Amino acid sequence: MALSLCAVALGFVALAYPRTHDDVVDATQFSMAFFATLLTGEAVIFALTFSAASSWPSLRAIDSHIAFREWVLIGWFAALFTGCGILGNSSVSATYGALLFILANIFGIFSFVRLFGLASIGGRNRLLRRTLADSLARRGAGSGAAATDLENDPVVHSYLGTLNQAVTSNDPTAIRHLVSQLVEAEVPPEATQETITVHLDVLHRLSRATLVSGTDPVQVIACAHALIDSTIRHSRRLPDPAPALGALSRYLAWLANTALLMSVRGVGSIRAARELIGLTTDARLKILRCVDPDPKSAVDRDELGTILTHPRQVLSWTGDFTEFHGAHQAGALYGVYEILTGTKFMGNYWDGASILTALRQALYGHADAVTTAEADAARAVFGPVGEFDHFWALLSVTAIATLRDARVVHPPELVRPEFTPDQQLLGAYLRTFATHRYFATAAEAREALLSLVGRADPPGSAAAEIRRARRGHDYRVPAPLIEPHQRPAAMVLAIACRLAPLAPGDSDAELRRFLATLPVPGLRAAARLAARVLPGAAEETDFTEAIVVGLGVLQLVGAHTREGA
Amino acid sequence: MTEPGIDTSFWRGRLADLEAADVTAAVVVQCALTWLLPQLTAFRNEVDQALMTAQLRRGADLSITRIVLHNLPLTPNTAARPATVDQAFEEWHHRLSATNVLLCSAASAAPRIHRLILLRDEAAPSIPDMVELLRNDGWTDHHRARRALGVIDIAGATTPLTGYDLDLDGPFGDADPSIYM
Repeated sequence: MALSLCAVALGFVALAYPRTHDDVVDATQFSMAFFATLLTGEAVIFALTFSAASSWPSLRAIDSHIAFREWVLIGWFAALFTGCGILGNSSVSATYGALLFILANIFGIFSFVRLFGLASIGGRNRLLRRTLADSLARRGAGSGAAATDLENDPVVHSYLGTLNQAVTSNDPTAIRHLVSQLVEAEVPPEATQETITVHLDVLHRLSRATLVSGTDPVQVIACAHALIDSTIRHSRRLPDPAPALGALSRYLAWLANTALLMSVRGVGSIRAARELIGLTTDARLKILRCVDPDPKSAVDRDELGTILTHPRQVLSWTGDFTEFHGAHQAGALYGVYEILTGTKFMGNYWDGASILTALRQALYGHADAVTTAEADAARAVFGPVGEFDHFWALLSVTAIATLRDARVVHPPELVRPEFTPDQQLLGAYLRTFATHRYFATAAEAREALLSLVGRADPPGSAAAEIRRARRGHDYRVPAPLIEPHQRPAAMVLAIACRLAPLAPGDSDAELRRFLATLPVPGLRAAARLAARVLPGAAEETDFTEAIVVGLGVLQLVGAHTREGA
Repeated sequence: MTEPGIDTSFWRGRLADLEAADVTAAVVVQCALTWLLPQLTAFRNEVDQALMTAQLRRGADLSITRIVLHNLPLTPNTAARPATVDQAFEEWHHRLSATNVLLCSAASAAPRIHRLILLRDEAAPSIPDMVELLRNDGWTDHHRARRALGVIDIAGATTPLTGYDLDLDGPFGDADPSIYM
């Protein structure tokens, strides 16, 4: 625009003060020489800085940054007017051409300086950050349908392609720069979802590369921390951060399990697996601190208070956080309790205290129900107590179905806090749900199983509302979201664990009675699941015994207290 | 209360009668598309649960025959329905199969579920929705019950819903999450 105004103004100057033929030729000689110098300079910088195949930054992005095309266009106009003016003996045209050459030279300096800025990595990063942010902003401003083909966006496509190249060539500097461009891109709030999707995509590409392709794990972990911090930061800007935080939490838990499995099978690097598992447990603890209104510790001001404010959000996140045997899942329920009731849970799950039982009592107890605004809001989301029980039973189905394979040898180098083969820890995780005993007899358990298997979630129920809020927010996490009804064996085990004895000496009669009522196919499937996820169950050949012995893991919780007593 | 096209209090009354010892059989037809509407999910659950609870309590003393749709109509007028209806249809079939497989020990003590096949040009099922009981050897509505049971006897008109292909273990990725890598 400024350039056009200048060109118009120069036109008036040429009309008012036309110069002679000789003056024009003399002036043009100098201008042309300088124009040619600038052009050569730009060509040299181009040749030294960018390759012809460069897609990130693309030539289009560089061109729009240095306004190369506009500059050449002015030069072309200048030559045209000068040439025509001299040939046609028009002093006005020749003078205008000479003036345009001067304008081209002034503008050329601006273009040259901008290009020189790109020759440095800092300048290039600034440009790429802006290019990426602009592209994401355009996507964010578009319709929901446009957001689905994010990867087809030319800019995002180039960015991810360049990331792949950097990963393939194991270039840690390039990877670091590419991640910093994404993390530091200033995107408007409406593009937050697209930005988080790209964050998770990049995180996955890097994790896969370090696990399988030998990319330096130290660099990858540093980048992954930056991506995770940025994802959490972006989540805060969303009206409903639960799907994004949940997707990240699920992804991290899935990644830890996958790293363990691939490493044990010799498919993935054990060093990378160790670093990735460390990353996931640390990052999940970070997420937990951001969700817990009163965390055990905080390393950042942002970690004070909670990101999740609505009961539905915290329920949605809890479902995601407890999937894939995620680290710190039992501790997470302290924050959940506080958000849902407005009061703190003072028990110790490690000693066998049941958070869900206390939560049920706090929300639906006869005399001791909590009357805070938070509790009212939670009751409004759950509905009657039956719905509360149904919701947590469904949640436990997913958690149990995705527990780690207890038969896989867990190498000592892959042991991290809350990521261990410790049976007591597994017992504590499972006991979180197993102590939620909303039935006591085999007959009631059968009815509860019927309800779990047969009931679809009606509109307005907590599960249906969570599903509705999640629609269109899957963030392309590799592990798909599976509905609980697709996991019948886990449904049986989720009910069975609520009848299992919690302490040595407790009766297992109701559990056995319940299992005895089950048809063989269902019992066999539940036993297969128990053999996979519960220690000791795989050695049993009888289906009922496998489940009963496997659920014995629940009795390990609080054993240290009992021994001391 | 009456949900769209369905007299819920009538249904509830009939379903409650399933507990009576003199009721020995029931025919339940739920082929109307209204059963798949979101606002009917809760009542559909209620019917499913009542039928299965009665079956589990009474075992082989009660013979339940259910008819649901095998496929949704695909005429130009009906094909443009919301995707939620198709999802609800799939989920319902899955839940009906899973309930039978997980809870009914013997085939004689399980509801027999038949799926009515809609032909290409059929926009609606040929039999109306009903819940008819056989009480003291007499159907509550003999004509309607016989009509429904007659459809089952026509070769190719229905196909049974069995759980033979039901994946009880859940997705493979549960056992091996690395499959998603």
